[in-house]
Amino acid sequence: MARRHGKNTVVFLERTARLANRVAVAGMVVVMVIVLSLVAVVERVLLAGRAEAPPDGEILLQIPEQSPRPPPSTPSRTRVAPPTETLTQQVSTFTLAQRGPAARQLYGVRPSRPPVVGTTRFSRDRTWALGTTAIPAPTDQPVMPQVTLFMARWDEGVWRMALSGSPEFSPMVRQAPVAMIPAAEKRLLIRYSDADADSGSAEGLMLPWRTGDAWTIMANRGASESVRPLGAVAFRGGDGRVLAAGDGRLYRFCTTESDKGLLLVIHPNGLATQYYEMTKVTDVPDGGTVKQGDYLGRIGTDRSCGGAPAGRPQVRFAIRQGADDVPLNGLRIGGWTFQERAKPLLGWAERGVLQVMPGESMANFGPTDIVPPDPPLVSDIPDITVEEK
Amino acid sequence: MDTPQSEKPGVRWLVPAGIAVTAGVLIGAATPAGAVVVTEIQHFMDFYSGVFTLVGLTVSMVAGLVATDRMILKIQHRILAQALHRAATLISMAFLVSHVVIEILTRNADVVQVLLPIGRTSAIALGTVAAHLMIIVALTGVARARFATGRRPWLWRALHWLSYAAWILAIIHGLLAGRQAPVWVTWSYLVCVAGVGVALLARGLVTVRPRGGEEELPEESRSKAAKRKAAREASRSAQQAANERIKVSR
Repeated sequence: MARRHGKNTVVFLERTARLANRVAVAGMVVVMVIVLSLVAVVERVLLAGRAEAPPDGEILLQIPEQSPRPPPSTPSRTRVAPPTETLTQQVSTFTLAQRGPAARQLYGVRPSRPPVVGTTRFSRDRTWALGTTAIPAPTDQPVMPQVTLFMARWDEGVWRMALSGSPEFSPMVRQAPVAMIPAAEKRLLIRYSDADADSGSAEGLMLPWRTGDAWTIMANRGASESVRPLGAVAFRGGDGRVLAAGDGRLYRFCTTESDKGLLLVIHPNGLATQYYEMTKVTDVPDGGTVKQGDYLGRIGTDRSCGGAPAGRPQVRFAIRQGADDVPLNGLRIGGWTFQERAKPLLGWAERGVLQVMPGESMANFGPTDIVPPDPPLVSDIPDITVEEK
Repeated sequence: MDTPQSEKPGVRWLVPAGIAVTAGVLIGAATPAGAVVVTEIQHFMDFYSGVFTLVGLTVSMVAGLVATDRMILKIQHRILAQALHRAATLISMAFLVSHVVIEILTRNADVVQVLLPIGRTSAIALGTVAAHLMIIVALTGVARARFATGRRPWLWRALHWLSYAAWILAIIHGLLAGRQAPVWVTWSYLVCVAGVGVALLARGLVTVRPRGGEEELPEESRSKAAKRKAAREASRSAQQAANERIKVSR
């Protein structure tokens, strides 16, 4: 009996030892994987210069001030750094050349102010730049300013530039160092730039305020030659907190002050939503991710990108893709389908039998557009319980 | 584990294989396609090595606690728990190194902060202290046999108790530093703390048990010695672990 017990124990111990060894080996394998990953990351960083903070972390904003000064380049580099101070001027000229006609058509008049350039990110060796540029709207037109992202590359003594929506933009994004533009952001930028504006892909977007609240919709037909009744839409009301219409990455335009400016949120499907005239704008860095419903700013009267004053705080809202504005007509956002008619010139939002005209208020039904259930029948009166004695 | 590497079968090719894999990774990471992958890895590690350090630390702590249990578990379970304890600690230390390196690379922390608990926020300083404690515990853990045979076995135990302090500090660091912790993370941390609290309580009960339990030890160890002899061919490592444990518990 005792011997049998001992034999069993031996078997047990053998098995245990084998299992314990396996656990130890598994542990070693995991450690090897971690170490190799770390080696790869460190190598990458050494190759591509010091790693940029990931987009969700801290990104060093480099917005040139009125007098652009050369950025603090590393003295250890003996190579002549590209003239980043001339980039702003060149991008401004380039933007006007490329997008000037479209802006003129939209604004109805020639743009009165030169494009506002915000260079947000340079590569380590400062030969690559990704930034934002906007053509300010005339001060008498209540329209959404024309905005675009730009890529620039210092190549053989000149800055080569491309604006989002142009065919040259995506290849440049692809070639840019990943330490400057992370892979996930590259995919998003390329999708945004290459997408052909097909309406109706606003799937999953909501109206830019708290679900369930009702805000007033304001609309101008804009000054564009192809007049659209919902050419320039703005919202006001509720708690005034403007929220992201969908998940995406955020880019700023015309930022003269840190909490002002125009925001562009590029969503995973390549569609982007624009928010303008806000104050107390979020401090999420350029290229940082936002989730649907994240705070973007408060309705306001900011004019850093031009445009006519609205008189009351509001948020101007528009949808963009590549180089084009996407008309609201036919889009379904926050449970409402926007409609535009030429004759008579009318724009409205509809939901089932409901119709909302500009000036009226509409509730945000959220991204999934589930018809809210009727409130449950709850009574404050407690049920009567009969105690039997 | 204590067997010299060269004596183990199949270890001879391990060093060349390791060199080959490392070289492959170094070359692969330099290619454009590799760069994209590495960026994703970096992003992942930036987000999760800290989390996994804490998870590993928690697993290690629970396994270590379980390994001391004598009420429910049999000896083989406890050997297994010890193996898990060591593996989890090892993984946790690797993640700790990766966490620190990545945070420095992404400029979320300075090199000085590795050594000194100073800096922009006290949350990061907490992490530094926790890391130091963790390293002390891990290193003394490796040198456990020396402590056990030395004159001050209690010192090892006292040093090993630092792991609780390290763990609590690491949890606070995890909640306060870096990105805002989602609600479920906060809750799972609390659950972890509660779980370890319960395990500690159970351990306390075992320790406070009437002395009769202690007196069983010599007999237990005698029979264990017999088993050990029988199992020597089966596994030296497992048996060594048991051996060490007995020494310390004396």
